[in-house]
Amino acid sequence: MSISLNGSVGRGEFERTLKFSVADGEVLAVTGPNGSGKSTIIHTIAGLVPLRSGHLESDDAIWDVPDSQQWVAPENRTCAVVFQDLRLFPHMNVIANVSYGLRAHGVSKDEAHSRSTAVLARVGMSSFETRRPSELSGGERQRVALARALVVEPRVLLLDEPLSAVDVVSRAALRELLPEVLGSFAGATILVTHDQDDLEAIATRSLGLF
Amino acid sequence: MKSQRVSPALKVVAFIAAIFVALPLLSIFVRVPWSDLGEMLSQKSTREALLISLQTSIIAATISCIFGVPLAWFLARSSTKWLSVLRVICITPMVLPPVVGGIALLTAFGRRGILGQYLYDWFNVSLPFTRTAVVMAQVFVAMPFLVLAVEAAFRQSDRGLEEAARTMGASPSRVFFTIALPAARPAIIAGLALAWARSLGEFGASITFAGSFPGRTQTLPMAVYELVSVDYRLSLVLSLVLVFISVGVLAAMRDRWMAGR
Amino acid sequence: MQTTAPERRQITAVSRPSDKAFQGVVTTGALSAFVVLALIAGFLFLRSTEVLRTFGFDFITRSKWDAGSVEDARAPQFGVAAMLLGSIIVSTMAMIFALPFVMGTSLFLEYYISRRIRFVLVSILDLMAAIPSIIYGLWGYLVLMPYASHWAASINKYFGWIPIFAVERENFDASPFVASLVLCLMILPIASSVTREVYSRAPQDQITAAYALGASRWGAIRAVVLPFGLSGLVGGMLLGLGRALGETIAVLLTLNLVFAVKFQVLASAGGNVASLIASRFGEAGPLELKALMAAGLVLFILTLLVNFGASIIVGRASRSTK
Repeated sequence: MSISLNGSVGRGEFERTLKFSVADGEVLAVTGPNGSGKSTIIHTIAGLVPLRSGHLESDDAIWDVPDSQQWVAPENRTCAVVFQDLRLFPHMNVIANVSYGLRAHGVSKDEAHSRSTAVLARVGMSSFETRRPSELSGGERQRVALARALVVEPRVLLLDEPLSAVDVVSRAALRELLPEVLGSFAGATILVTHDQDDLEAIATRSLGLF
Repeated sequence: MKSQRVSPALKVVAFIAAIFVALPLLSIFVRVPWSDLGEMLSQKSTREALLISLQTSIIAATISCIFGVPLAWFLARSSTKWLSVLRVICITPMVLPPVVGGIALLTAFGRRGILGQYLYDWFNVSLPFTRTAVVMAQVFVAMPFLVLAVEAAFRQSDRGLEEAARTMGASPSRVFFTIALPAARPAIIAGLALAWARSLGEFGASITFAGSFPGRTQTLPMAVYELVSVDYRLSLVLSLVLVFISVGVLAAMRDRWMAGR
Repeated sequence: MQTTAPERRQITAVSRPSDKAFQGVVTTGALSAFVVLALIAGFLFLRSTEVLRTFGFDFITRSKWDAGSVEDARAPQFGVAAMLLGSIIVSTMAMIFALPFVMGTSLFLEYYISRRIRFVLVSILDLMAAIPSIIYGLWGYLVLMPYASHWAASINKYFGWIPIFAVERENFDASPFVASLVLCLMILPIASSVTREVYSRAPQDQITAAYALGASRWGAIRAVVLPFGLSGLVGGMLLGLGRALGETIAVLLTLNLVFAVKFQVLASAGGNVASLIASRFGEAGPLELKALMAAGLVLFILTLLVNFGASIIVGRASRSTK
């Protein structure tokens, strides 16, 4: 199992108990109506929000066990996130955005550059390297965010509503791109969505929150 | 409502209001002895005061920035329950009348001051009436302005970007230098300009803590004050220099950081 | 295609040394700033309590300021009453003079001007705030004083029967009146920037409603913006008051210090704590120095109260808009 969570997530009236695990190569879709806490799961696994109780671990490390004070900071977890609002760094261009994670891990500038270029090619954004995020369309930004998460080769990939902020045309294109990219991704993927079509196109399993 | 066309009468009124507001500057401009300007500018006291003012205010602004930005970061991001108390303490120099600030500095760092006595007894270092004292006084009054401006920017900054950076593997320090600082750059520049202007015009605290010794600690404001009763024409010239520096650079900086938005 | 993660990824629960260093630097810098400031405030308080204990409450109620003299066998007497009252009078007058201008400027800038002109005027206003106070002092002394003396003479001529406008001697230079005019200009930028902020947040829907009911621009402003912005205006004025209370050099040049409680604002005599400290500081012996520190402490507390009050009022104003 690449990642397994068994505990309660969220705060106050939004707290809920979950138990699931995802293996390498799987794409788990977490579905449910808006407000059912899907994003919170992503944030908890990423380490931006702590578990209320229980156990969160990846296959080679324990990430979060509140009761025994064990906690790994977000920057030390082997996961990468594509946020719902994408969060591309506005003051950097595309290639700098994508290489950010590699540079944070000490990869040299040249190697980070070449790895980023390769990943950008896989998502079809090769000629956009020097553009700023503000110059891109919704669909283009989504691809860059995806590239940025993939290039660090995480064990766990977390996608929060990847197709929600995208127009219909780009959505169709992305709906074809995602399974292709995820198919060659070695780790586990957790995909949050409220769209049934996305689910059927991309996921291998699903978990419903109702 | 705001896009309603403004009648010419109102524009004239606005123009008059602007003139009124700029009145002190204009008056000084008018009264400056332009014919003797060159000779007065080249006088030793002028050059010395100008040099000291520039030197101390730039150093003070830089120090305020180096210490103020991390301080602002701390205030914006930390969550101790003492935070509001800490912030009030930090703002205190802004509230403190400058002379009182100067006296307070003297109490602490003077030769017989609580900290100063050790400096004197152990290291033979006497701070009052030195150029260092001028810088200290300026930092004391100017840093809060920078801290306030930058803290506000850090508070309003997009935490989401910082979170994203951390999920990418960036340590808190890397997040600070690569994400938070660039985002706060306009506010830092504005704060720097503010702190610098405040340092340049500082009078009350520096005259009590550092004194007004020509060539040693006498800044432009002090020189202007001393000359008012002695040679008011020279004091006008010095004021002109002072105004030019502070207003000129401030105006230039404002363009830059406003355009950056 | 199982590729390994980048080499440097550490799966540990410990933060790297460079991060600890960063945290350390930030916290130390922050703490030392606090420590220094707290120490200074504390020492000021400590040094002045000696004087306060010696003279007791008289320090605040008596007006005589005399460093004493050994040869003349005069005991030192320190009383800030005249200076404190003078500070309050001058600053309050400045506030009164500034009020119509602050209101007018803020309304004008927010509601009567196009964006571009507003930017220019606001910039000028902000630049005003950054002009060193010595410039205002100099202007007050060299330029304004002759005119202000003239105006004061006229006021005295027609309204001298009102006690505060009476004078004992026909000298109108360096009076609280002049000083307050200079201070008025100085507090204009600060007070109006706060007020403008509040006015800009007036509920737009209510203003539109007023228009729909047939109100003119001024009518709508009077009905909606003014009541809404009242606490902001008060807060802004109080902030200006705080600034005026602490102002040293501008008052030093435009006010003649006299150690007697006087309410005659046109006369060439007044009090101001900040100017007192600045002018006596040079020749002060140890005891007088402590008395000056005590005076500073009194002024500081007063300024603190004013600013505190201002922030409460402005805070209430912004909270009520949410």
